Amino acid sequence: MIAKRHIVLYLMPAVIFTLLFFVFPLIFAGYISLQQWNGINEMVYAGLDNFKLVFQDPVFIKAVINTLLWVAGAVLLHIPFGLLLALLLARQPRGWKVFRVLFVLPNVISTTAIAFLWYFVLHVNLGLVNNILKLMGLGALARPWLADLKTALFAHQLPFIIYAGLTMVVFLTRISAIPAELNEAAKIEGATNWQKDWYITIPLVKDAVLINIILNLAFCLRMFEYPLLMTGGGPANETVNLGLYMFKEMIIANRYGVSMAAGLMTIAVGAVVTGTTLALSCIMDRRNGI
Amino acid sequence: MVIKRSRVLLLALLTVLLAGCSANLQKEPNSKQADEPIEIKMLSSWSTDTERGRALHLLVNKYNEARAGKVKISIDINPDWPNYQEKVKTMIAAKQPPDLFNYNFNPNDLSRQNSGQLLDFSPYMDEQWRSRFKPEDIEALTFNGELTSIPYEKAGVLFYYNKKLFAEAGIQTFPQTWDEFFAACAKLKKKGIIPISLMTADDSWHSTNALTYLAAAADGMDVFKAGVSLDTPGMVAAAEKLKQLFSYSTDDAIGANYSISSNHFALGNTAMIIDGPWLIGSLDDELQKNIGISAGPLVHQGHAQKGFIVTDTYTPWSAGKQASKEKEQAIVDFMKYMTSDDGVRLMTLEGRILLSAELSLSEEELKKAGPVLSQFIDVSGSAPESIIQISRVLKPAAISKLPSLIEGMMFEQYDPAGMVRRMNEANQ
Repeated sequence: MIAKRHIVLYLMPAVIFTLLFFVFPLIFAGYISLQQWNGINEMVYAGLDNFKLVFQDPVFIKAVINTLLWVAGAVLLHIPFGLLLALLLARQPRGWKVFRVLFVLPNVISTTAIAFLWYFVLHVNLGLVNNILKLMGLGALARPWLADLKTALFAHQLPFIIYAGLTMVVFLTRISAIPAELNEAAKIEGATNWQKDWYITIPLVKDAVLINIILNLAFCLRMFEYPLLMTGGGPANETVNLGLYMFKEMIIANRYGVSMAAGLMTIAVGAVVTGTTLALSCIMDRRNGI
Repeated sequence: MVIKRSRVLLLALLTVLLAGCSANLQKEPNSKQADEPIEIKMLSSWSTDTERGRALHLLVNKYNEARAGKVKISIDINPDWPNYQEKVKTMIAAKQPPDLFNYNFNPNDLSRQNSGQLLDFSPYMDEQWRSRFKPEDIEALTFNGELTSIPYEKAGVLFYYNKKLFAEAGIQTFPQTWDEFFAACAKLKKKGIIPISLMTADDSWHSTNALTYLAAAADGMDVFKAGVSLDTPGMVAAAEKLKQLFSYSTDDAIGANYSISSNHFALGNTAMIIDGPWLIGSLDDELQKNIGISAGPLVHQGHAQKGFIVTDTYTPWSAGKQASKEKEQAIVDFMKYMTSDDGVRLMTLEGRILLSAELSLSEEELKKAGPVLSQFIDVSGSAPESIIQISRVLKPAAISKLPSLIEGMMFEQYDPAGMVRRMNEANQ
């Protein structure tokens, strides 16, 4: 039986850290969002003016939409791609361990380095993509991928979408826990690999899907390096997201109150999207009688 | 016993956690030994892999040697300029301003001056020191009778042109009017030469340089003056010409950053660029022989004088208020050394930066400065009037929007008049 005082003692560090590094900054951000402040001089109370300014700013609306498109990119492209890689590697083809390492490797490299790498891969003149297109006689398709209104958004998300190593590892871990008998029984029944994946593996990795959605959701909501380094939010704010909007308002425009108001809205967007995901997951579990 | 131990542990944990919050709150000890040198920490973004960074180190080392045992200046380098400026702002907000730091002066952002945390140099500004500067530079940095920033770097942003490429297109001299300029661009383009390097990423530096030249040529040197509307026919015409200028730039101009844009010129891919003297270090010796430097072209019935130039803003040095009078005097002494004839000569010739302080170079020194820097000094020195670059004088909110507004105009999201109207609104 653990004494109550020990429980309090053991919980204390976590509670103190949470208060110091989460609750207090959140309250402070809320306070600043109601002020007009340039980061140095006295704050001037501005009421809800910063929130009004943010909601009336078309760039902020664009940033919210783009942030949601990052989330959509994660759910509709990144996670399915990670699942596909996991399904392929779970069959343990020749050299699968090497491929597993290769797929995970980009996830342990700095995002900044990857952003710079892809900036040059997609560059209009120096870029690998356009030069390959020209070599293949498809020069007409070459374009400034990161500076074209039609392609910039998807192009700067591309490294995130294809570097699905960690997502793949989460799926692989779950797949390895599926009892071998299920697949063996299916094989005896004459099921193809595709059928085994569709009817056995995918239904049994649903909880890993939820984990991956939440992990990638957090990643997408705080995404900053790719828009900053690959496009700077351009062309014409086409790729600005909430992280970059906050940065620009704080560092370049010197409007800390506006930046904090946008920060609180980011938390609100995150809470809504995460809440919706968890609620949908609960509904599906109930329907399935779990 | 267990309870006591738990409480002691809890207390120790809280002490450790809160210790960090109270660090550095104490004033600097006044009980320094008399024989200890006064230490001054100088924040700088000039790393030693740049000419200016190496020159600054040389200057500081010379000063430290001359004041050995009395004063010691140490340089704390942070090459990331925005990060450095954010650090300075945080230190000022925390009432722990740096001993010495530099920043981009913007008359529309006097937050540093209004903080009350900066050292006022005016009591130390005797006639001898004052004579080192142009009166208008001192006046520009004086607020409410306090001089909290010492004028230092104020570089011209001039037209670099590749004489070899110009000759290939049959152009003998640099255009004197914007009409001639566009005619020259057309000739260069016809010869398969890309006329000018432009960019829109980050602060759109090369493009906003062109916009500043175009606007100033039409409306004169007060076009960006605080309180004056930017929404003028001259500005709209400047925006229209900037849009036209992009058709004479590289494929990647929209979205290009400073290094991409300047590399085009340094590699001989483009015939012109508008930039400061810091670009010279990126040009190889062979190319430098073919580089011409020019002031801005004029427009018909414009308000600018022939030979006018655009300059970067003042990048002055400021110091935090000091509790110790000795340290304050040591900072002033060092600033006097930095802005002395020797200090300015060293930074100009070795660091290749152009400063606000007076400097007269001999023919031999000009020759030693190299073919481009000597032209740069000549054109800057003979300019009858100048205007500070647009990205340095607008309100921060407008500065942050300017690059995307230029991109929006280029993508036909609005016309040049719409771009100027939006810029003016952001500057309110």
